[in-house]
Amino acid sequence: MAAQAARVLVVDDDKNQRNMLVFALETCGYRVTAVAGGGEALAAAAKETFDAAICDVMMPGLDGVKTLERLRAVAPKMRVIMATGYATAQTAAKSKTLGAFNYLAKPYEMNDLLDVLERALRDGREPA
Amino acid sequence: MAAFALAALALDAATYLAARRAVRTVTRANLERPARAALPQIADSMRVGLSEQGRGLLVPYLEGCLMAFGASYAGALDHAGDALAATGAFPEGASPRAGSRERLVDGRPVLELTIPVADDAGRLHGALVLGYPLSEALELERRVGLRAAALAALAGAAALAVLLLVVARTSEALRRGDERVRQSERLSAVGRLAAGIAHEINNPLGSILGFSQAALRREGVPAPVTAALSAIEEEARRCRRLVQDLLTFARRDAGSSAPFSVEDALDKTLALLEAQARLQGVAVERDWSARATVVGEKSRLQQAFINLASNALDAMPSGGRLTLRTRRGEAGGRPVVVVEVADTGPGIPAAARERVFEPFFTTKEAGRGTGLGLAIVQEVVHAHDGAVEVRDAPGGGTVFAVTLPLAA
Repeated sequence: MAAQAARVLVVDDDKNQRNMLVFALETCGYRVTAVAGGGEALAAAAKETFDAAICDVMMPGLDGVKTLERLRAVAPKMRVIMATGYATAQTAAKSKTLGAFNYLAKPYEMNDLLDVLERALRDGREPA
Repeated sequence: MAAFALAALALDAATYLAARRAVRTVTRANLERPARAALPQIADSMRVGLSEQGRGLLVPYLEGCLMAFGASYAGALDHAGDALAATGAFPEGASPRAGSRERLVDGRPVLELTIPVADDAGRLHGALVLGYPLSEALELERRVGLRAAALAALAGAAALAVLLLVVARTSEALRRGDERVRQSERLSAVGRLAAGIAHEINNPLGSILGFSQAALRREGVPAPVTAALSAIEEEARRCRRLVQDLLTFARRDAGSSAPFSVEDALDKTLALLEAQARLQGVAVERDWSARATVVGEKSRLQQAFINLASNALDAMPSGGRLTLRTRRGEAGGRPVVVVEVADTGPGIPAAARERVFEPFFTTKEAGRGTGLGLAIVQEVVHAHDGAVEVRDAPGGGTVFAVTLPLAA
């Protein structure tokens, strides 16, 4: 694990999904903040710096794609990974053109999550 | 009853409520509107009921629920609340009404979960009922705080089982040759239903898989809990495979169709399977005599070839020969390419040969196959105006022959 643990923002309206990501990422040594929606995500990103975010696509209110666009505007250095269920695979592909680092199709393997997250963090550390 | 269970077991109320919420999330099973709209149509065409054989399809799945999650009973109910199939100590008086309730069964407290399938009008078409011993659930909770995940796993599995029930009934009606509704219409209804349920299941399945895999990475987890977590992980993967297979099977909307080389698709198929073949000591031979081009969806036909070739490998666990051949021929006055996949395994008994293309028919041990592999092959090949048949290989073993029209 890196000397300084990376900070990850989790955005998901589904409580179990959110708790699962917190549980999984903390198990692997990351520092995690979890919020239940796009509005809260923007507030959190305005208050502190995150290295990466994992954001659900289908959320009530501010949906995942809109949240992605605004997060990219507020915190351009933060890498955003989108997570999607079956019906929103196309949305997720589109979100890559809107600045998402990558996307994961649920239900994903823990190894795939950690792999994408590590690549996102490396990408974020490289000078532009 | 709730008060009794809480008092007698000194249940941690917050934990209990969290578990109940997890179950309710799945129980609500907000099917997408098209999927809901399809339900009465399916139910209407399924009035024939589930035959003994159809019930038999459900029992291994229900038994899987018992084994994997430590449920003490499991059963599938029809819309009237009558049990279609049941395993374990299935008690009288199970209700098809949604929810989780505590009951005393043989003097033991049980958390009974009911996952219904209803349409927009609130009409009930069936339900799955699972009884979970509260004391075991508590033990798991005390040790790693994963009861909510375990219960969500149960409920996810149960929702899947109801889907199985609907599809099993569909295939049963198809087998009986019910002419009232055309096959394609019924399959598209099942397709919409499968897509709706798949989406609803993928979310909880993600939590289940994630929780179990992350918990397995934690240190100091006692061995029995590790075993339970591994079972949850394995079953979640199995559900995921089943959802993917169901979607492949039920997908009726044509994707992009284009001309492609059959041999190229077969080469790609073999590239995926050659490592496994080597591991099993299976020699692979190819004979590309046709050099044929067909028009269709390459990825779907490739999936069909993969299913055939991996079945052939499964039939030869301790070595043999896998042969893939293409040749040109004629069927119904049209030029065709015939793709043959042959193994040197033990062959398929005549009684089973008639049923190999039926959904959920499998001779593999529980948990190995989803029973949809060959149903997918048939579905994909038919969608391409082709045919698939099975016969004995001359020197022992089985040959599957896929006939596809050549590109004009």
